[in-house]
Amino acid sequence: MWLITITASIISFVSSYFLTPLIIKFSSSRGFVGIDIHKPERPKVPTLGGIAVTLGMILGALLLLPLYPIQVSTFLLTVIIGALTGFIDDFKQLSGYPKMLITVIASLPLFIAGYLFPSMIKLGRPVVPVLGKLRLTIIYWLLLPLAIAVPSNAVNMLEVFNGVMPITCGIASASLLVSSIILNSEIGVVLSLILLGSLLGYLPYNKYPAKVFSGNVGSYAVGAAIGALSIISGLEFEMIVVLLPHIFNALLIILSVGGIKERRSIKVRPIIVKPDGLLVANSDSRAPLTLTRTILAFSGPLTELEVIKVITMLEAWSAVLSLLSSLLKVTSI
Amino acid sequence: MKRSKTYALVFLIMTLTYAWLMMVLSLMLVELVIMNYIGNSALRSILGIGVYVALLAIWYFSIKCLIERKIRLL
Repeated sequence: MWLITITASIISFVSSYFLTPLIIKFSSSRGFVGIDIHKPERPKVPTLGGIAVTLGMILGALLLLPLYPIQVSTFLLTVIIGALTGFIDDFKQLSGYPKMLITVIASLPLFIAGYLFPSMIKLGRPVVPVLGKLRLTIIYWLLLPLAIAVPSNAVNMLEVFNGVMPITCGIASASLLVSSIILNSEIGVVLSLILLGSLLGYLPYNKYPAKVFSGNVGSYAVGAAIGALSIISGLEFEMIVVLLPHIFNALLIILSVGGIKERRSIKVRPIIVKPDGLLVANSDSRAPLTLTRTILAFSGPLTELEVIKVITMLEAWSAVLSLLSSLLKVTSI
Repeated sequence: MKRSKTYALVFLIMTLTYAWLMMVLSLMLVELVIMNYIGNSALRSILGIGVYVALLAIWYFSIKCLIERKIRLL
């Protein structure tokens, strides 16, 4: 079984590693490019790199479908709905609320699988650190529709710098992998290895300075994958903790602009790029609060690479807190 | 690492740790106090959800206050 799992992870890695250059060629030739606004020369960079990450996950997961048919097909369906939402957004530019609604629909496969196969996908009473099984379960059912919408939108909102998505989500999936080992969740190990393999294969192309952008398709698919694997493996608390930088950033943006708004509709930018390439926090009170603006407000001007390093360290700290949560869960079981 | 960068990092690490502690604290408050001392009723659910929302709001607005004060000084 472990041999197949490791092979599936390698397939995910190899697929996304070799598919990304093809996507770069395709996007460049068809004019699917975005401007790297955090560099003074504002270079044009091919987009849609997230398609390679998504295909990497799908190809790796297909190998495991005969072993875990229910869990893997639920995971795949959720990821595909997430990716499609991002894909439509890349071309049609959906506004905030419809996008949120579609990502809420992405949690439907989890509801259906949990209802039809309760022994394989356990919904309802998550285990939390120190206390064991949650007793006030109404909060679980209230939040479950957001189990995919929150991670996918939060990952999308923090994907503003080169490499941030594969680095932070790679750390998150590695942390969920270790949590799965600590908590003895076989399916958690399997799904997080697939996600990790795909992200590692994509990282060389997206890291600073990026040769390709993920596009919304990548961030929505990866966010949906993190959400789905956490619910399927019973790692709900760990997911919230490991995505704290993403969720904090999303909360800051949503509450400071007064609702869920499309990134392009926000007129005043939270940060300013100086001619020498340094990034500074915008002091304009109309600019939205973001994690990056907070970093720059406290640190003063930084280069893009320095901001990426700070975000990476924050994600690493969240991974430590998430692992601590898993260890506290073990003591409570 | 630049001293200023360390300052930002320490502030945000403390923010994340504060969030994690608030999450654990709110769970303990609900599961050990409300669930043990209030009988099975709608009031118990409302109170429980209220505790979660209140602690989230306390965390968020205390951090937001600090960030806005720093931005005003720019």
